[in-house]
Amino acid sequence: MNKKLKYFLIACLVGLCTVFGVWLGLCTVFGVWQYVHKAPPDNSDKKPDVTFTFPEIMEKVSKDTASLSQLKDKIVCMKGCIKKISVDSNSTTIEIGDTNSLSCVICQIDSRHQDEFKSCKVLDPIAIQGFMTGYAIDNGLGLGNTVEMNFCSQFKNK
Amino acid sequence: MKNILISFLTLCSIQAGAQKMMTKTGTIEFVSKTPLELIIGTNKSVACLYDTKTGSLDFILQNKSFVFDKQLLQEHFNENYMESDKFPKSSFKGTITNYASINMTKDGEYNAEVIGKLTIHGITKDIKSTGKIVVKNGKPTLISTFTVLCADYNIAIPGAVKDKISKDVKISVNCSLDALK
Repeated sequence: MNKKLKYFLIACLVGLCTVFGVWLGLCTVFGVWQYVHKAPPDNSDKKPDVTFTFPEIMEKVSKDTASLSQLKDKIVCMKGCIKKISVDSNSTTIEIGDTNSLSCVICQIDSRHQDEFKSCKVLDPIAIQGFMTGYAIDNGLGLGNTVEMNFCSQFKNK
Repeated sequence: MKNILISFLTLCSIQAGAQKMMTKTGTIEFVSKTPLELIIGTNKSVACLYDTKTGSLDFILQNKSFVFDKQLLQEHFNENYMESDKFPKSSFKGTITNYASINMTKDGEYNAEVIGKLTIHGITKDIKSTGKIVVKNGKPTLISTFTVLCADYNIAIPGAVKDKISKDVKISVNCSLDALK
């Protein structure tokens, strides 16, 4: 092999390695950027792990907190009537419950799904799914039992 | 007409004379601001109980109910900083010391001085802050902003992210209360 060809092949190899290295570097940076900036998961298309009606979940809060604790971070579908709707400029929070009791399920609506709740009114029946974040027995404040969910969306019957 | 007027006046007097006022959908927002990163977490399921006759004021919230715009922040907040499985709740128990000067029956903006015990990450500290109570149509809204030091509540910030996370966090409270029936 003559010398010129040998140098040419080495130069090509170094060039290819450089291009590959830069490409790999860019991919890594992009991957890390995506990982760091990833939005929280959208649960709306996921099947709920468990479904409760409002009386069922309240009975669980009163009598079976051990199994309720295991539902934390799970996708739960809650069926009941709207007790209160709180809307501000960029968020909606819906309370599911009975107007005769202080107990309720509080659903912080996922900002990506707020439009689904625009037409909702107090006392409308509704099914909402989201991550269960916790529960409180009477809150220690005499405010009834509370179950909390976030990243909520309307349950789509699957 | 007379019946409507009597019902309206009765309703007003119940609202105005209500001793305890509450919400379960109050808002607490915390902001960590550094030149490199702005982190905002919002919790809109804060329970608050205010006794207008004694000035007693309580807040309680589930740490996991804070919402962030990035999944990684959500995970780090619950797993590394707040350890939400170990310390699921944060709370405040205190008093509005100048409650007697706040007229819940008259619309307006009143200054409030608050003292009490703030519990975060399993650590309880005495705090003193000021805020506002805005009364509109007989409904009060509690508004306050104060700063807490992460170190005071044993929240360690790893060296790798110390430039991205502020050592002190601004906490904003906004709770619109209803009469406790």
